[in-house]
Amino acid sequence: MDDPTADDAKLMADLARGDTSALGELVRRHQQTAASIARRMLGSLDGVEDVVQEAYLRVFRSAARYRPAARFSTWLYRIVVNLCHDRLRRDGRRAVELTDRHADDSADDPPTVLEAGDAVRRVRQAVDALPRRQRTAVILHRYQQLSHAEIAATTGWSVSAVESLLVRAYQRLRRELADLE
Amino acid sequence: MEHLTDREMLDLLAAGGQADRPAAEHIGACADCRRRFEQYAATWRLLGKWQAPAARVDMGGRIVRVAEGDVRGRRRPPRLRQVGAWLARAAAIVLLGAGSFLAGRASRGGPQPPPPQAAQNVSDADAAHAIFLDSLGSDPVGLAESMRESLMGPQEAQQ
Repeated sequence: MDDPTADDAKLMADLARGDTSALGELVRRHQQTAASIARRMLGSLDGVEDVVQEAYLRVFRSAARYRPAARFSTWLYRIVVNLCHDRLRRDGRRAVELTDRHADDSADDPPTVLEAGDAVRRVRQAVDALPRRQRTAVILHRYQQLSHAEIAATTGWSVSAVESLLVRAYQRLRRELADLE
Repeated sequence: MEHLTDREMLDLLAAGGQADRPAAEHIGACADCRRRFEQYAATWRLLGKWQAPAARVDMGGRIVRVAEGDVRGRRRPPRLRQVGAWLARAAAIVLLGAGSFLAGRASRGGPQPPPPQAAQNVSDADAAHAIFLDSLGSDPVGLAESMRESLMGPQEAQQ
């Protein structure tokens, strides 16, 4: 399998014909990335698996209508981002509200051991404190290393809007984290 | 080459090793751009400290099972689904009725008052005495006499 993008398109074609094993393969390929986007967008592990599962079920239900105009991953990330925004709106909470919740997370979230340390906590707080659109842009840019055009395709915003959001977000982060540099 | 914009620097950071060669060369040659780029790069590195763990388990099997259940749900014939819905409603009504009946019975489960028994051991004479009927005599107001006259006629009455 030399070209993962082509493989994804083929898997989607198989899925459109009702082959659910293709869905399993798509999950295995992209679940980590999808979950890590959701994790950072939501600000905690709470709801991450629900978002990822719902995203793939939407992929599954739309498989017959899928046209590989864009990369599958871009489409999937877009669904994940939108679901996260919906969830944050519905729950009436902002991921920026980092109070004791994050400290509580560590009790039932063994992997957060990796995040131990004041610098990590400060970084997470700074990212979570960004306005929603800036945060989304930074997460896709820094952690998924998407280009400006890819972020635009994922979010549905224009490339110039994405660039403007990124510049403002990085300037704000630099101010917030200046003492750590 | 002109100085790089902030946007170009951010794109360079995301591109990593696949950076635009002229832009990368410019940063190497221009001290001002290099200083600005290094500020962005320092923030970029700091952000990298947040390693958010993602899925703790392989979700593939679970998602496929849910999707297959979704398909089975959609494949059920509509008529069968309607019948199922009606059965569910009927069952709900029966359960509601049974529940109400049982609740009613339970609410009446307390001590019952004793049945009235005063009238059972009283004779007709006692009852008449109780309401002074015995003091009226057999024809207390003379109605029998006047009735006899009107029923029998005056001549018969005189005989």
